[in-house]
Amino acid sequence: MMRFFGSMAIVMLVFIMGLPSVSNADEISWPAEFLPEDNHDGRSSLVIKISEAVRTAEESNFAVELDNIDITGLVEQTPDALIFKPIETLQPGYHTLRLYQVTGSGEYIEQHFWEFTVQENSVLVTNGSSEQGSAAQTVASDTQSAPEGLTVEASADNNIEISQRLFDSNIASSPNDLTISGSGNGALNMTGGRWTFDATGNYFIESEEDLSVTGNEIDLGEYTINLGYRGDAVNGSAILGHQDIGIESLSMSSYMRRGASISVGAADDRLKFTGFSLSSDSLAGADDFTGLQKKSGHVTGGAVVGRPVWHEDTKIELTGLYFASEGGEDDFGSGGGLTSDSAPKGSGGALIADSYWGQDRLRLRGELAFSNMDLDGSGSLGTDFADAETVDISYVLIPDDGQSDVPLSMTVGGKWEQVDTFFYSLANQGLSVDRNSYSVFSNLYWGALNLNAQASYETNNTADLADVATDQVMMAGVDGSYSFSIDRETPDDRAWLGTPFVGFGFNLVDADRKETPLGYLGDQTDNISVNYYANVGSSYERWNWQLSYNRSTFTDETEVSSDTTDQTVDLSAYWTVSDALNLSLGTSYNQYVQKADGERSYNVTGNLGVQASLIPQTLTTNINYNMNLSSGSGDLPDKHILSGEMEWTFIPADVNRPGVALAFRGAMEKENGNSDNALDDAKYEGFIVLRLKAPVVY
Amino acid sequence: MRDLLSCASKRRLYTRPMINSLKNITVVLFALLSLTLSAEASVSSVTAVPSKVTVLPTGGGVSVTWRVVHTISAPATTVTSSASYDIIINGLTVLTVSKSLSRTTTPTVGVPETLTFSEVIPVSVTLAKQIAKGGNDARIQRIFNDGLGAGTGFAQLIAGGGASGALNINRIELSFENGGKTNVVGQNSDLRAVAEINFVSRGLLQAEWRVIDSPSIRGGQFERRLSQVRRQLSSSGNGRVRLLSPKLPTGTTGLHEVKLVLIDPQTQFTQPVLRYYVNPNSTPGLSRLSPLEAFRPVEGVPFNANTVFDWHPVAGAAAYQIELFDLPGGKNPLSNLNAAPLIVSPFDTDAELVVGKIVPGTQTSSTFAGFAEKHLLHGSTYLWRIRAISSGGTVLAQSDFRKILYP
Repeated sequence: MMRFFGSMAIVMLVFIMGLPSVSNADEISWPAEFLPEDNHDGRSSLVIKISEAVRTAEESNFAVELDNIDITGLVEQTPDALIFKPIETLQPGYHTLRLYQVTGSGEYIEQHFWEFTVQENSVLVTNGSSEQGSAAQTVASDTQSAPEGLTVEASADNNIEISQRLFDSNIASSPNDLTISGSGNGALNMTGGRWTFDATGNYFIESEEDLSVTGNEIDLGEYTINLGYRGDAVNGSAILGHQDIGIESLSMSSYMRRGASISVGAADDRLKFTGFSLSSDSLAGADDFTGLQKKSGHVTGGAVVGRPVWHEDTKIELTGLYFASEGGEDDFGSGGGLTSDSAPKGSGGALIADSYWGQDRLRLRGELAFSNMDLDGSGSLGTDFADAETVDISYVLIPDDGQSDVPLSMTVGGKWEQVDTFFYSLANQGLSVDRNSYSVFSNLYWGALNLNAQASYETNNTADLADVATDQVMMAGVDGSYSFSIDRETPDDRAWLGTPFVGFGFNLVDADRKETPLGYLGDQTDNISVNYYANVGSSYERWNWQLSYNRSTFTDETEVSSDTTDQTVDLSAYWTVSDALNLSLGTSYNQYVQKADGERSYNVTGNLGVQASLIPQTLTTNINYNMNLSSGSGDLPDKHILSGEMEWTFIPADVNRPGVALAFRGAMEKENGNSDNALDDAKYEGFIVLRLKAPVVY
Repeated sequence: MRDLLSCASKRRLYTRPMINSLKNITVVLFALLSLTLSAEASVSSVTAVPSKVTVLPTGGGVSVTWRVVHTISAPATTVTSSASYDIIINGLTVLTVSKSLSRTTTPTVGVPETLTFSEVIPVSVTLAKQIAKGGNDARIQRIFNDGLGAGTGFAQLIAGGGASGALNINRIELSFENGGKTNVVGQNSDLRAVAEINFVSRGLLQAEWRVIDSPSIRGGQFERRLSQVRRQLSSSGNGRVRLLSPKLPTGTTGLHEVKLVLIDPQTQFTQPVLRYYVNPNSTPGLSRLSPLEAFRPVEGVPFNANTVFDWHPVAGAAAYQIELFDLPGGKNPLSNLNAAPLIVSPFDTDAELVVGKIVPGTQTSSTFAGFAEKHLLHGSTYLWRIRAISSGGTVLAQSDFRKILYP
């Protein structure tokens, strides 16, 4: 392995002269020069030659930005240079470096802008300063090796709680008095030359099987193991565990499942192949460690992503995806859908073309997806071939040129999407099927005002089934926000205002019948939903608050269902009183009216949280109070819950040093208004908890 | 009976007294006969609620409640049952499924007793297609018998898919914002759950986010309501909505449970539950499943040069890097399903880093310099995270992605 690392460890980085600066030449007053070190590897220092006298002139200071990342905090200052040693290896490719002058009044003036390219297998280093459009300089550089050493870092955070019940009253269940529970995270990272190995995961311990996360008393939760390789021409990775292969499609979307995958691609990301086999069920625990067992179902296939054109001005990406799939027996964290009784099986895939034009101002994307599924998995009924298509376009109509005092930008776009009635993909089970929709949108920002608008039109029955009614739904919505900019002469000037902000929104949905089949026996469709909201808040150095109001109405012209009105007012605040005391407060009032039968219900909720450190690092406490009060139609018993904990830390946990703490923990619930008065009796219980914590880092 | 009448009609030549006697006998016999018939038809009605049930073209479960009314004429314990149901399309029975519904009762004599039987009837895709093409005449039929007599009831099956019909929840998937179904988080972490719900038709969704805190999870299981959800859902047939929970309690260490309880409509499946574990303090683990704990900015606080980013230290960190990314899917809300202010990428993003700041590992809070704002577009929402990096360049820990608006 080490020999392989050695052979792969050579990395040659070259800095090539950049483009002329875009900064204002009139403001440039700092002569500075960007130089590479004589010897470069992936983490060699970036050096800017500049004299201290210049930097300290007029009580100015400096700031440095690398690839839009402010690196000033890690820049080392010498009498004649600013030096930054990248903490993460700079990737091959294009980079930018900016030097700012920070004036005594706190203004930032861009003094220099450099561009450079880190290349592999090159011995030519070129750098250039933007200043005055000066001529490029060419510097030779030695070929260097990448670090050959193997670095290993491991960490784990382990926690165990041993809990003993001290007392209880009116508790119906009969759990064990003595319980053990715990959890932890672990990580292992190894880097050797071009190879990386990352493993992460969590685990759970729970002596009460009914309370266990996965159904087992000691079990793994979720994990990922990733072996990666980054070569001069080829990159690759092999992943086992929970993963998302990263393709967003009508056939596969946010598909985070356990399984295995292998990816191989060009180092410049122009071409990438991925093969995968992931469970169709969402899994946790070690029962199916790899996610490849038959009972968990599978989505197995491959994807290829190519970027035939990938320039600053024009980008085109083509994706092909195909997979075979079969439903499993149990989907952790889910309910409903096509269940194990009718585990669907079949295939799916997609062809996607995505592109950006005119420096990303115009985006065009099209997709054709298909599924060929036996939806009830019987095998004898054959499969349903169905497809789904989408085309969307967006265009930056008014780009922000960065020059206006009041910035202005506007983006518009539209989308068409059609999903067949019988389209179904195990890798995108949440997709709404049987619809044909058109939608448009616009985003506008003007100064501190942000305004979004969108509208859509949607119909069903894409399969044109004779007895299915076709409905249409039209939606229109607007939402926006405004953040106030307060010019303060001093920090205390109108400090009570903080940084205020407001938000608002309006949404209307109108559903109507479009086509009614002959002899149709179902209900008609003619209803309107309207929702609007507004919120206002402000943030301060130590606290923030927010007040919101939401109102929704529903009107059914067919009188099939009742008209309704729902409105909620919500107030929340969070206050860091001191380093030793935090308070959180929230309350809401809700009113719901069902007009047909005149039913009205009211609900008030409230919560208060207090966290305090009574003796720093030793004695801490937190108390939570929650109430639910309801009245009106369908009145429920009022409920008050109080819970809290006080913990004494005997030995504070530190890295590689276990900690021990003892806590008293309790909770109480009190209800009012039960038909059976006995249920109104307060229920409470208390525990003593021995807590062990062992953070380990290697 | 017919024999008796026939016999009576043949003897019209009998004398009047005899005729009167026969009349009396006949009346008695009719009375006895009517009693007998009454006993044989003890089940007087079978009604399906609802009388019309919508079936999607892709099938699924349909809920039917049968209301059976029967009366007994003499004290008895009866068993009212139905052994099977039939699916009838255009007058032809296309499917008979043995599934017994039964109830044993002792009704009051002469007083009609109403019994209700609720069931969920699975409708396969094939059957749903037949219903959709069946000429509007499809029904589920059950025959109930209490041992003394039988009655028949049926529910009309309507090919659905449009916005008519009652709201029905097809599927619900719970996860945490990072896409995981399990979670171990540090104390006071910002944690939320996400429910992705697929529904049919339109109507009012009523639900509650509920949580059981660690102090009561091992006994009383005091379930407290974090928030109430009332949402009018609309679709042209099939719809999808994502609900973001309020901030989940992470102030108390130990095991917690969270769920979205659907109150109306009721579901035909077991509603999922997630559990998470709160650890006492920071975890010197790695990013993916052991996030770095970032305390500020809290949700709703907009980005500016004064916005404080605050996080819990991570052992071994040589530097921390605060990063802002473009939202995946660009600024096109139509391709961004995440209208709710929630995290959009489970663990990582392919989006370009827009602006960042790296600070030494001795710092646990920072603000951005003013020049960072020139990289941002007013009115845009960005994802932000904080990464802890070791001196060897390895990412030790990483916070979850959060959204922040640059107004």
